[in-house]
Amino acid sequence: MFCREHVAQLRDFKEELDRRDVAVAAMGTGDLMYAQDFAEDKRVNFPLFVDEAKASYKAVGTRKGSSRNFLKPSLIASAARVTAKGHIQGKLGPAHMVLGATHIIRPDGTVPFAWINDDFDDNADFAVALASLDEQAQ
Amino acid sequence: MWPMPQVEPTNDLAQRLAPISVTALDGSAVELGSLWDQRPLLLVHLRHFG
Repeated sequence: MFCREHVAQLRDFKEELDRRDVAVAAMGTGDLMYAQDFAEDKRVNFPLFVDEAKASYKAVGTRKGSSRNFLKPSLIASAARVTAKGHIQGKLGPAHMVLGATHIIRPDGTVPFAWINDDFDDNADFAVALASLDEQAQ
Repeated sequence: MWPMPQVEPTNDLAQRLAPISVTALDGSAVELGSLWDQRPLLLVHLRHFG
């Protein structure tokens, strides 16, 4: 469900990225058919890719979640908040314990923003990521 | 005030990511480096498609 909320946030943020001439790409660990169904269901309006080998996940150093964290009060509260917004947990995909990450990469290869999720609900704020481009440019 | 990013970016991250091939929804193979060669890229690794 946190993935679904994050995708909805990215979908809403796409217009701002276009306005700033920043490309966007999202990566997932499921297979191609799973990704195609997900993109249609979530009305994805940005490029979505499948990394079945998880090579890019390993390269950025994503972490793994712990099932024990499902009992954390803060995570339960986050789940209730997200569910109340209508982001219901879907079918669990392969490698669903692999957490996410968010980066901004410039054409010169510099990385002004790097975020590695620390828990299931620990997603980066896209506005903060975009602001890092401004900070670095000053 | 913005919260701080969680990790310090590593200098060679783009180099390590660039040659990695992933699959687009149309089934075509795409090298990640091609995604930021013209303009900055917001790259989001999702937890899973679920």
